Amino acid sequence: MNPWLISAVVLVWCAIPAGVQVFKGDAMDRVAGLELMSILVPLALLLLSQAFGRTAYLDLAVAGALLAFGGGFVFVRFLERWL
Amino acid sequence: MSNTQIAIDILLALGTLTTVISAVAVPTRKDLYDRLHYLAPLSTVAAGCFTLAVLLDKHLSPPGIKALVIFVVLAVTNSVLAHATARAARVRQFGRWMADVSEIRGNFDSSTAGLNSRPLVDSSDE
Repeated sequence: MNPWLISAVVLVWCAIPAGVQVFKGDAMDRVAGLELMSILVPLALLLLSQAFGRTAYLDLAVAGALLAFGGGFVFVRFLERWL
Repeated sequence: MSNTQIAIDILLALGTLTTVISAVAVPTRKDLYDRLHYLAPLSTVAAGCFTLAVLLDKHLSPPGIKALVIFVVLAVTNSVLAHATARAARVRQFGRWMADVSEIRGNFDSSTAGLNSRPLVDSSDE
C-alpha cells in the first residue's frame, strides 16, 4: 500500500462526517455537508489516480470540481430565494 | 528513500491531517457559519499539499498540470461558494438581505449579537 493510496483511503473515510452532516440539521446545514463532500471527491480522485497510475481519473476530478461549483451554487441560490 | 519521496510523504501526511480535522470539525460545530470556515483549509491547504506532492512526483507533465488545475478550481470556487452559502443563510435568517442587524434591533443593542439571533420584527409584516 503506497502513501497515495493510504491518503486516498483516509479521504474516502472522511466522507462519513460529510454524510452525517447531510443527514442532520436544516437545509443550509445539509448544503455544508454537500460542499464538504464536493471538495473531498476531487481530492480523493486525484490521490487515487496517483495510487493506481490511472491518469484518466484526473479528468473526472477536474470535471467533478467544476460541476460541484455549479451544482452547489444553483442549490444555494435556490435555497436563498424560494425555500 | 530520496529527498523528493520524503517531501511527498510529508505533504501527503499534512494534507491528510488537514482533511481529517476539517471533515470532523464540520458536523461538530454549532452553526453553519462556523462550519463554513472549516471548508477553507480543505480547499486550500489540503488541496495545495496534494497538488504539490503530485507536482514533485510528476513535474509539469499533463497529470501535474491537471492537479494544478484542480487546486486552482477548488481554491477559487470554494471561496465563492462559501460566501454565497453564508449570504443565503443570512437571507433565510432575516427574510431579506441586510448588512447590519442594528437596522432591525437598534444601534448598540447589546442583545443583538449572535449570528443565530432571530429578528425582532417578522419579515412577513413588511
